[in-house]
This record gives sequence, C-alpha cells and structure tokens, in this order.
Amino acid sequence: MDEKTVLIVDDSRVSRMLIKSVVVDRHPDWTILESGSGDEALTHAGEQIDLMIIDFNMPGMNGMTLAEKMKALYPTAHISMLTANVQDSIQKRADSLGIGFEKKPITEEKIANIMAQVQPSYV
Amino acid sequence: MFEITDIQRDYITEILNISMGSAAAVLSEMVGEEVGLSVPEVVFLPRRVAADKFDLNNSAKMSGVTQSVSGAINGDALLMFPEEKTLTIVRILLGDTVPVESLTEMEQEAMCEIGNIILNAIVSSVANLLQKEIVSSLPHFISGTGREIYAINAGCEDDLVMFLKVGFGLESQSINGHVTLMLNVPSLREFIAHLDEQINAL
Amino acid sequence: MHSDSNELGAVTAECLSSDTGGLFGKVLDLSEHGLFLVDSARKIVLWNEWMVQASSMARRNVIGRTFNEVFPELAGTRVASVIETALDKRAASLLSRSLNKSLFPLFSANGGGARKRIEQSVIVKPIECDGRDYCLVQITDVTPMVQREEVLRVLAREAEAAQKAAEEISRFKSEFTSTVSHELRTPLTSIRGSLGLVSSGVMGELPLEVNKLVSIACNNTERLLFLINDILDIDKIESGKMDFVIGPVDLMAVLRQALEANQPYGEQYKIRYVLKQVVAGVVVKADTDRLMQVLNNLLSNAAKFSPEGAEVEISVLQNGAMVRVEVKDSGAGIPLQFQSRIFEKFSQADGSDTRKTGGTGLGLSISKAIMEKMGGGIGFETEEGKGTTFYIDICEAAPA
Repeated sequence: MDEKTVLIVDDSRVSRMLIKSVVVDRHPDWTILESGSGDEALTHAGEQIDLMIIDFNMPGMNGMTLAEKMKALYPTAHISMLTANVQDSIQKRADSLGIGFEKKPITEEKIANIMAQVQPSYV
Repeated sequence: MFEITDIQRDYITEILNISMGSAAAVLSEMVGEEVGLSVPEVVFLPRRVAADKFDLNNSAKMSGVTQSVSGAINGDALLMFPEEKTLTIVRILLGDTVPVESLTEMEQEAMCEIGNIILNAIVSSVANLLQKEIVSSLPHFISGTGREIYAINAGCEDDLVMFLKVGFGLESQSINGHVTLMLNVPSLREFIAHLDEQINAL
Repeated sequence: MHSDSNELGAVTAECLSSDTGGLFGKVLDLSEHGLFLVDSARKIVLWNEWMVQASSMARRNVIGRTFNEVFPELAGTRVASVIETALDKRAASLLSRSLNKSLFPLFSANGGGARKRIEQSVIVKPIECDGRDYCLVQITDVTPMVQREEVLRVLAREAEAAQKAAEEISRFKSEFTSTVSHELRTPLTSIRGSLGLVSSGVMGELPLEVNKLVSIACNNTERLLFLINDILDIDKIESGKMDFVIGPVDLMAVLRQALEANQPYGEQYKIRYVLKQVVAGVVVKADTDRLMQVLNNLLSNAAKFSPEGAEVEISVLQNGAMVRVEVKDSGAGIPLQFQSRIFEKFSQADGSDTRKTGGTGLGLSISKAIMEKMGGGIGFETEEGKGTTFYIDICEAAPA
C-alpha cells in the first residue's frame, strides 16, 4: 500500500472541502492536511508531504510565494497551483518553478489529474 | 439586514472569484498587460445602506458603469469607483498619459467595455448558480454621488442588494471599487437555496 | 439563394431585405449604422445597406452564410466570442474602439480615392423573437470622434510642452536675476562707500555745487542697493532658499527696537511714531530678523505716506490665537482699483507722489511672503482721504 500525504492550501473552505472530497473518494487511506493560508501551511514544514495543492489568490502570502518556499523544502514533492487567475504570466511562473498549474473551477477530473502525478499507476 | 452563513459567503466568493479570473484574462489579453481582479468581500444589505457607504466621504463623486438586468433577477448591476480612480484605470489600460482632466467620450466608452466584461462575468456566475437565465443590457457610463447613483428617494431604498468589493490590480497599484447587484427577496431566497444545495453536495 | 438558411432565417431575411421591397428593410437600409443579425445557428439573416457598402459584400453573398464563413479572419477574436455570449447567455456587450483597435474589416468609400479603414464601436445585443434567439450586431463609425480626440491629445501635449517651456524660462529668469544682482551689489557697495566718504568731506571740503551732485549720486546709489537687496530677497523666498529660524520672540522688545531704528526716518518726513496700545510681555513664534524686516517696512511706508506733522499710530492687540500689530497712517489711502494688487511685486499706487523716495515696490510683497512663511498673515484697511492701517498677525507662542 502506497499511502501519501496531501497538503491542501486554499483560503476558501468550500474549495478545500471540494478538493478533499475528491481525494478521500479516490484514496481513503491518504492523509490530508489543510491550511487556510500560506503562513499556516508553513507550520506543516518538516512533516511528511508528498503532494501539495495550492491556491494562488490568498490573503497574505500568495500561492506562488508559498510554492517557492515549499519547493526548496520538499524538492521531490509534487506541487500544483490551482487558480482562478488564468493569465499566461502566472502559468509561465508556474512552469519556470517546475510546478503544475490548473485553472479553477475545481472539477473531479482536474484533482484526479493532479493526484496521478504522485501515483503513476493510478488511472 | 440579511445574514448569510460563513460557508455560504465562502461559496459565493469562490465562484465570483473564478468568474473574475476569466474576466481578468480577457482584459489582460486586450491590453497586453497583467490585470488582476478579485472579489474579497460579499454582503447583502439595503440599497440605502449601500448608498451611505459611498456618501461617508463628503459625498465624493463616484463614476462607473451600469447595466440593467432582467429575467431571474430584475434591476441594475453597478460597478463603481471613486471618480479619479476610474480615470486611473482607463488611462493605465489604454496606456495613455494625456493630461486631459476628465474622461473623453472614447475613454468613457472604453470604461463601459471594461465594466461590461466585469459585470457580465458576475451576472453570468449568479445566473449559473440560480440555474436560470438573466438577460443583461448594454453598459452605460454614470457618475454622481452615492445617493444619486442609487436613486435614493425613489422608493426603493429598502430593496436588498448584493454588494461586492472588487479589487482591480494594475501595474503595481491596486484600486478598490464596488459592484452592486439588485436582488429581489424571492430571487435572493432562491439564490440561497441553490447555494445550500450545492454546498450540501460537497 | 436562401436555400441553406433555416426557415425562420429565410423568412426574416425576406421580410427585412429591401431587395424584396419590405418596408422595414428599407428603413434599416437608411440607418447610419451598420446592422446585421445572426441567428442561433450562427447564420447571418440580415445585412443592411451600410454593411453592403462598408464590407463590399452584397447581400446575396452574405445572407444564409455563417458568421465564420463571412468573417474567417475574426475566428477566435473577442467579436466572435461576444456573439457567442449574446446567443448563449443573453448578455449584451460593447466593444470600444479604444480597447479593440481593429474590429471588422470595413472601409469607407473615399470619393474614388484610397479606401480608409473605418474606426468602429460595436454593440452586440441578444434578441428573442417567437421563441428563437438572435444576436444583433450594430456598428457605429467613430472615425470623426477618433480624429477629434487625436486633435485634443495633440493640443493637450502641446499645452503641456508649452507649460514646461514657460517654467524653464521662468527658472532661467530667476537664476539670471539672482546672478546679476549679486554681481551688481559688490561694486555698488564700494561706489556707495566711496561717495559717502567724498560727500562727508573727509577727503577735503567740496564746492557747494559739487557736494550737491555727489549727494544725489550717493542717494541714488543707496536706492539701487535697496532695490537689489529686495530683488535678492524675493528671489530667495520664491526659490525657497530663505532660511527662517522660528522661535519664541519678545514682540514688544522687537517693536520698540524697530521704532527706535525708524525714528530718524520719521524725522525726515516730519512725522511722529506713537505707540498707542500694547500687550505686555507677549511672546510670539517668529524669526526675529525677518519680523524686524516686516516692521521696518510697515513703519517706513507709513512715514512716507503721511502728511507732514502727522502721527503714525502703532497698536498691539490680541486677535484670537494670534497677536496683531497695527500701523495706522493718515495719508491719502489706497485707491480702490489698486487695493487688489497691493501685495504684488513692483506695485506702487501713485507714481506722481513726489514725496515718495526709495521705494522699490517690493517691500509689501516681501513682507507678505515672510508673514506667510511664519504662519501668520498681513492685511490692511483703508479709506481714501483718511488713511490706511496695515496690520500683521503673528502666531502667539504657547505659554511655557
């Protein structure tokens, strides 16, 4: 059994619920960590984390800044940016950081795609 | 005052922000520059209270764009900024620094288009949520004090409005404005019911 | 020719096409706007005469074809997407000329010459009729408005450039004045000194006639020096280079000193300074030297403009949080037409007043600038034939 830990960072509780429901549905055995802000997410630093799903627009630290910090702490974890801000410049920044990029609204398919990044065998 | 729960507010804010994301993408493609749009705050309040929010600073002049909506909801959708901010937005987006003191006709038209993009995005997310149709008219440029714009004294001051704060991020500055959407009470109930339905489905 | 359009589309086109003589079609053909209608299958069902002219596409080549077939170059653009929005979401849109530089490929027939691209503003509106959805596209030629605003922009830019040039000239003038004045002051000072020595007789008694001439030269040199000093002061104030050391000042002491210093001047004009009213021990916030300069200016002016034998009355009184010093003369008063310019540079009421000497026309404007710098003010009350009272208001220092 390949259990994973997912960190969900989004200031919207609804968004977190939505993402969480897809993850739990597909992988009830995975551990889920939730944070409502970048600063809160950083308090999990040091714990085992395999996958991070981060919202771009958040009060305080934005998702890109958090992703940069997390990338340095977890070079092998997969990070995906999830955002309503669908401008090319944001996508380019995500690409240059080597992280994933998905546009909101959140759908089951998009979350499944992100999960597949840490579960190559997962279809 | 009409109160909604935190989770309801969170849900509305999230869908509005998603539609703002696509409106911002359209705008930034048009002007070839990064444009940020966000809705950090949503409240429901009587029209009179909304007008007073603007009139607190000595009846400062506001300007912006209005379009009327009909169908599932009837009334007006308004996007307002303090007058000088409207000037800033248009001048930045058009990349023009001509020192003319007020908006020219063509600039007013450009502001109408900017407002049209934002208001259409908001109206369309509300229509999606209601799963009903809302027809929206062409945008018009308006200016005046809060009380003038909200037609206070026209006998509708107790009507509830959905009052959104809209943040406009341009170059390195951020400009705050407001969007107001008229919602009559039956459609508001319906709106909340649909909201709950979708939240419960999570 | 309408074989591939849907039934209603064909009917609409038939009704609206002026080819078939429809009244509405004729009306639409008279419109000053470009008008066309797209149905829910994205087919064009109406195309008015304005569109025929501007697009050079005859009605028969357009009606019944889809929007994408008619305008393949617009695929994926905002125009195409707002037509979709109107049909799918019933939302109206406006496309401004400023944010959409090239909309439809439409040209004006320019009297046989080169065809010019039409500057456009476009509105797109949903229309529902008999349960079917259409989208009306209305195009307005805004070329004249664009040209008008171009002119406006050019004018605004020119005005800005002209203002910058004017500021530059003014800066240059002020620098020039300042430099020249400094250069003049040094030699003038030594001329004044030498003339003073000669006229005092230390270099030997002068014949009466020569002495008279030397005195005239000496007085006029002095007058020139005053003028140059005033010009330098004005320049310093205007360029913000005049230093002020503002602190608590014993007003009565400064005033008494000023009165003493002006005594000989008053004697020259045969007037007497009388201190009418005082506020004992009052302390104000001021720069002592500058305050003295203002008081000297008011006292000497009053002497100059008073008739022989008159008294100049000085009063100090409390005026709210300020302290007021009044200097009242019994001269001719200030003519109404001159009152508004009294504090302007180089202004003197009456050039014919032969008693007046040594005035540069800068004194009051310097005094006003100084008082304002110190947070106070200056003003006057006057009545023609009766006299004038000049007053200054100075901030009272907070009690220690």
